Amino acid sequence: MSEQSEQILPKNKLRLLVDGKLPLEDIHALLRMPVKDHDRFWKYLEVLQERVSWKERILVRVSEHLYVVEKGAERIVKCDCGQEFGDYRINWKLSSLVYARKTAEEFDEIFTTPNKPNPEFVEIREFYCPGCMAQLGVEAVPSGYPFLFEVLPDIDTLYEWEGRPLKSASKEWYVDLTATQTEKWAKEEGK
Amino acid sequence: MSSHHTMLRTTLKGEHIGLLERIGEADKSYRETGHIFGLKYLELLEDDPLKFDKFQTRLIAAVSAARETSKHVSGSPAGVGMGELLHLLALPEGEVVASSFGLTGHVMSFPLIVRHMAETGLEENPGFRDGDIWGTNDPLSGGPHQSDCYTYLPIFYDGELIAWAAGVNHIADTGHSICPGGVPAHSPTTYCDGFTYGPMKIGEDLIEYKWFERMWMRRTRTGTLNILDEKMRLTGAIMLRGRVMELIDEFGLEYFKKATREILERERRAIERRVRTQMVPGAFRQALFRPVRQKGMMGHLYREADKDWVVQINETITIEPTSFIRVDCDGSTSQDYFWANGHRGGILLGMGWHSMAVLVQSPLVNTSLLKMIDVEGAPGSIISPTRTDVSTCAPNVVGTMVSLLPNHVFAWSYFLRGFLEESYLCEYVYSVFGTGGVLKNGIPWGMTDFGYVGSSPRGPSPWRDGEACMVGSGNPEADFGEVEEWEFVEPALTSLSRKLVPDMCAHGKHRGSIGMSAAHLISDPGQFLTMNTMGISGTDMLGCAVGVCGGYPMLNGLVMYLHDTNAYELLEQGETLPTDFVEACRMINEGKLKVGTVEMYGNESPVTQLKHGDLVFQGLQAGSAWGEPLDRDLDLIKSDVERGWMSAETARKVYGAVVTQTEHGECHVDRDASAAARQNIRDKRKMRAVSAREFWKRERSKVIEKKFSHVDVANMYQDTLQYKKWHAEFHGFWQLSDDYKI
Amino acid sequence: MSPDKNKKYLVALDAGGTMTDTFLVDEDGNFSLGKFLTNYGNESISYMGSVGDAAHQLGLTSGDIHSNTDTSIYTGTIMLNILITGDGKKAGLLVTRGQADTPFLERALTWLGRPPAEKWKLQLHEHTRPMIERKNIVEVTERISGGNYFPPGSHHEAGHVIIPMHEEDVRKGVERLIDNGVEVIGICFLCSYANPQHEKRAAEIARDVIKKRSAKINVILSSDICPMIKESARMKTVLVECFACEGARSRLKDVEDSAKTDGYKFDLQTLLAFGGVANIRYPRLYESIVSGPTGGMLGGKVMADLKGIKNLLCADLGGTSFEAGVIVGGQQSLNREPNFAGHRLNMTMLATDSIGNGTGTAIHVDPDAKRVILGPECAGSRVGICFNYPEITLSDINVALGYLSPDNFLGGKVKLDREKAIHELTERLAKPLGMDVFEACAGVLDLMHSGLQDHVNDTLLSRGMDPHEFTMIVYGGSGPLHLWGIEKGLKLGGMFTVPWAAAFSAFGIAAAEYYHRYEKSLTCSILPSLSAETKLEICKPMNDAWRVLEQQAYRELEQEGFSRDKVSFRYGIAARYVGQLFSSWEAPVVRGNVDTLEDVEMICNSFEKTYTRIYPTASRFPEAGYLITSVYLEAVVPKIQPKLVAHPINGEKPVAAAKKGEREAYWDGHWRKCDVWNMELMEPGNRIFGPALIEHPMTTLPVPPGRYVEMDEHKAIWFKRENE
Repeated sequence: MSEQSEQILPKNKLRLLVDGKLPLEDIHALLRMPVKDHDRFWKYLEVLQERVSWKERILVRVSEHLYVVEKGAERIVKCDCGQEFGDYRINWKLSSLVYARKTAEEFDEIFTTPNKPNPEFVEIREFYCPGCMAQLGVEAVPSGYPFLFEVLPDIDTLYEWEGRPLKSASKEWYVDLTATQTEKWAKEEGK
Repeated sequence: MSSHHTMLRTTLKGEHIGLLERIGEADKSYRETGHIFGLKYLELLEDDPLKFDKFQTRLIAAVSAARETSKHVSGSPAGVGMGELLHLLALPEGEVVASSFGLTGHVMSFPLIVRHMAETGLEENPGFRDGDIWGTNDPLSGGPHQSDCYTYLPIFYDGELIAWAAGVNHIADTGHSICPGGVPAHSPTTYCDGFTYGPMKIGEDLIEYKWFERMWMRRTRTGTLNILDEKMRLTGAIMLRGRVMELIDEFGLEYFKKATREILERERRAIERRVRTQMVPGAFRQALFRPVRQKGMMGHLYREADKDWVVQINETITIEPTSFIRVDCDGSTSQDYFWANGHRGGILLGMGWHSMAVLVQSPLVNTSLLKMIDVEGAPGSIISPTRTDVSTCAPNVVGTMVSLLPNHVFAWSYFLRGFLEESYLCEYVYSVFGTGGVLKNGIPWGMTDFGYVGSSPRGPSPWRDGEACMVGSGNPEADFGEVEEWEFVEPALTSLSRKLVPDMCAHGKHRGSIGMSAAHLISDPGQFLTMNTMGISGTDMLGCAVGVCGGYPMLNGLVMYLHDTNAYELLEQGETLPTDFVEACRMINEGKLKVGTVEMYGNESPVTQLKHGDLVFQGLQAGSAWGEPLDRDLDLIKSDVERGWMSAETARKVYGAVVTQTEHGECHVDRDASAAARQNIRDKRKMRAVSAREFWKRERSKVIEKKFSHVDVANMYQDTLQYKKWHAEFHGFWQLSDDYKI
Repeated sequence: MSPDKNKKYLVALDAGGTMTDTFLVDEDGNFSLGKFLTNYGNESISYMGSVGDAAHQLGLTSGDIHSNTDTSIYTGTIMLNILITGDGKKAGLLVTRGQADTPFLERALTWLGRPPAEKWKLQLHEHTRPMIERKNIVEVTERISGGNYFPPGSHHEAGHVIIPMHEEDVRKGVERLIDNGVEVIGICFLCSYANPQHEKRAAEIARDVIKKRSAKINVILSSDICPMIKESARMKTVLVECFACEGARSRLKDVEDSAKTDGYKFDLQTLLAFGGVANIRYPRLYESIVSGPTGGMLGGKVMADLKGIKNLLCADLGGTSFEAGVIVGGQQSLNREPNFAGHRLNMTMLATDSIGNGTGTAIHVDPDAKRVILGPECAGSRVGICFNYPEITLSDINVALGYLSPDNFLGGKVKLDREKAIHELTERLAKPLGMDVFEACAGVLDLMHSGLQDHVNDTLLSRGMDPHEFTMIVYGGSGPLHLWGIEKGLKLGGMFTVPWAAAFSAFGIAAAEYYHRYEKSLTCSILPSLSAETKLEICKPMNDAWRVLEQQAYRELEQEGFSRDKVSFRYGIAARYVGQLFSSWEAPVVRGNVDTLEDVEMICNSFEKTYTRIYPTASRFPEAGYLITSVYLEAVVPKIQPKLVAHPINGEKPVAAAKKGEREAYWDGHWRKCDVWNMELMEPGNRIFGPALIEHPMTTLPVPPGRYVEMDEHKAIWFKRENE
């Protein structure tokens, strides 16, 4: 008849945390937990899944709006709006819309104090979702720099760590295939 | 015992083995088993976990007491005011088992110093003996930069070396030939780097040699302060040595030796478990760029350093199935004739600073972190310099740049696994300046001002904004001191402000911290006055390349020197002076503030000479943002406008938030108008953006034609593409022919 | 104690977070204790309740006491509550241009008051709730130099005007503040400690504007109330005075009124942070922010003087925190930059260190690392799982191991569930560690005690003192309970507690001196190379400062009803070696005048004496010269003091009635049968040998095997080793 310890995080509080609405005292309490709740990842997936209208199973979140989901035998990147970005092993940026700020005037829209970047050295690339036009990523790089592949999650290791390996587990899932896409493009461009 | 040989005994075999051999054995056992000292089973811990905890707690209490007592001896503003002083206890092999508060990143660099001593035969000559005092500040021996001076004692028990007691702090002036103070952002070769020493024996029988004091007086501008600092480090180390003896009397020598090793392995496992249970494994690609401006600066004296270029730091951060974190910097810029070649002590110090605040977060911090994370760079690159003639005076700066990026990854990774409370962008966005000169009565002086490195912003989380002046740069007890105390040691620099600057932040769902400004009026500097600055938040190319989840990356820092101004005339006319660089630029544009020359830099500025009436402005602490700006809660935007942290114009332009303000400062947000404004921004995005393929095609042709935005960028690629993995990535992405060369 | 309405009484109260304690003492030194639940909304209720409780013990009423009392001292948490709840005055502030964000940036000291383990967790750092709105801070163009540490003639001297003040900024700003409806205005300009002229002129202008607008707004100057270097802490100090003090004063007046209605004829007094008491009309009421242990430290001083103990370590152990402070050579040590409710202030406070978690601290186990984590949460009045707190706590361990009786908590008012405690300790502590439950409990206590021992040692060693030369007094509700555990690992000169340990703070407050303390920053560099004449010239500002402070003291004490002949002065300096930065050390000096070279040496020698008491000889650096950074003055007037009478010594054996029964307790791995004694029936001369448990309604004193306790003629209970 053990009295419940306060050291767990119920799902309704996790929902609030995900929304940025959990009161600070509760967050402090979470930060002070000497041992974290063991089922956090599963609760998190449930909370995330109930917030999207589509049905594909979320395997892992990769950004504020993007998830790797299981679609048939595929694992693809999908935006919460429903837009699909293809195989997660190919940098999702290749399936996005891109706007690169390259001039001082274009910089001024987002940098409003004098310590702004110099367009001779850097361009600001903004990556948008073609479905909902959400800004999914920002890069500040010199011209000619390849798109940065921000996250290639090692999904099978993650599920193994959680003690619930996926049936489709394979070494082939943890490989960067971005260059296969650009190779295809280059061929199509005929150069 | 022979006079020049140290007796080191292993307890198991009773053999006499040397330090180098011991280190080799420790490396080997870790490599082969994945456990520190090959400890698969923690016998003492399993036997009696509470006794074990008690032992560890006592070790930590001992190092803390050493620091807390000795710090007041200091003359160093960083040591006392900023609490930079650190004391630590290390095993004979150099692994740190317990650390005090202070700049805790040093737990990563001290082991390198011991290693270096073993490798260079110092154990044979002059040998380690009971009562010896040792010291070093040489980055080639493992230290982070010349300003961080170590004082350490071998601790012997019954003739056996059983530990090291060390103290380290940042001193006020290193005697750098070009830049007064301790933070030179200008040094072509190591021969300009100031007083560099050790590792060497600087005293015996717990008394320092008199000549060492003489060296401080002779080779640095702040000899008195530096001697007081030396006394401070030593005082603590001697106390710590005494406490270790007491602990051995209480627990026994065998327990001490075995438990100190088990502590390391236990904490390594704690980090391993934290990664395994709270992070998402995978490969994270990050980068960082920063121009170096040296052209025209020293051309006559150092032709080899007379050029500008762009430093590129490439990183692939991999969280591996074993929980090990690998930071691969292949493709980073090559070493060169400038101040920030990244020797290993500096790189690991930065890694320690940053990652312990995320991965350890407790007083149990020790070198076990070093066993769970590593930074690799191609030999000859800025991450792994091979030359000894190029400058070594700020490897720590490259270290903090390099280690910033893994911290973004940690935040990201916690977020992906659902541990949002742990997720925050841990960015030490600091700035620091060196200053000095000769006063009107001929007294020379120099000082490192830590007013802006004593604290950093806390970066944003997936659930809250970043905030300025929140956390220490690698020190759990942040403190940036008081203006009145800084002025007391920096005559001629009259403070005009320490404040937050409206609109100076990276925008996002959770914006970066509102940046700060510091302003100084130069008042009667005497015979001459110089100043130079150093910091992390970049120049011209932002603080890092990847914005998190759709937010904008960290802003540039800023230093603005206004020479030959009409500041004093303005004051006589009853006008006031600007308190930040935004106001200064406005007053210059209005023609009110007259300026002879304007020098403007990012966080690093070369040495400049300042005169009566000159003005200096610094902009700092504006870290990265998190998430898409259009997702920002309208009430948060309103509150920013209300507090004067953001203009209504920026709120509208960047966030699509329509906020109006009454005379009394109360704000109202129009939700319908805001929804429409946000839709407009999305429409504009749609209009301006192109498909990735389109963009790729267009940019690819420029790459093929070698049309880069600046010659320094082209040179950057020319240099870095010599490194293999980066070469493959670049070629693969742009689909370049094998014979492509820049 | 027989009721005697004609006796004179002294009343002292210590209002804590939970209880308001009264220490009531008559002119013969007989005392009684009173307790009442603290009433945050109306402290006059808990004041009257607590005094009434103490009177009741004597068969009297509070009115009987009040009409025969000259001095009532009330010390409470009013200031703390105002700061925590944010229920203060609406303040305006004039600052030097560019400094308006200073109260919000607060030097980045976001970790103040957090336990060490939490300082490492940067996500837990937060700025403290500000005492002012940003829009009520007015920036004024002006700058004054604070001087520098280089020899005279190097640069601007201290007080040099770099930028003259723009008076229009003040005028317009004050107009705006009045429009904004502020109730009080503070002024804090950079370096005003070196030259107050801008602050004084700004105050004139402000008062002028206020008068013209027919507003009633008090103006408070940093150079008046706190002329000390460090602007951020000084600004906070001014803000505390503006934000909290007037409210606190009116609430103290409410308490005074209720005492007066009950027959009390004098002004209510209150304790000041450095240990003096003053009338509640005292102008710098911010000095009355008193941290919990201050009263206890003063009680320690009384015991030290009474027993002729030169060096005493005072340890206050309670349910939520353990604190310690020292008295060395009869002197209490002071903290010049104390932290209070998350603010760092520029004032002087009796120094105490937090040395650990209280007995209500929750215990967690990390089963993978086999690590026990104490805290940070604390059960407070919910005790532990043995009462109604959901986590296991150190109190549960004390109950499980038999030290605390489940039937004697708060004199039996609260029943504790020992079986439940043992069950949960087994599940949550012992099993994850793979240990026997009682062994694990004993281990956790040992871990906690060893932490306390280390902290006690460090408290002494960090002041350069040898533990053997120290006696330790332990008090607070949990002090006696953990005395045995602390003693085990320490080599002290002696250890004791007293039967009134649970109300020891109130006792200390009763014993406080009536005095004010004044301090002023200055810069006098006494370099070895200087001529005698120059040295004397350099020291002249010290004399001037002392004279100014003396006049201020006479004036203020006169207003409190003390004529000049009642006032005596104590003098001192704060100094460092030239070249040291940010820290100064305070040293008392025998006279407040530097007229001869001998006087200069006297000053330097007092500094050296203080410094070498703290640091090893290796850290001395007299060659660098001395920098005097401030002078201070203590102005003392006589006050009646409680007397502790010496009782006749009885036999070693306690009276039979003192024995309450027997109970088993766990010592060194074994269950041992212990005699249980009633502490209140112990008499001077009595000895009780361990294993034994001595119970008092408010606390329990366990005596392990191999130890005994002995009560002396002042009823102090000494804890001793049998073979020594």
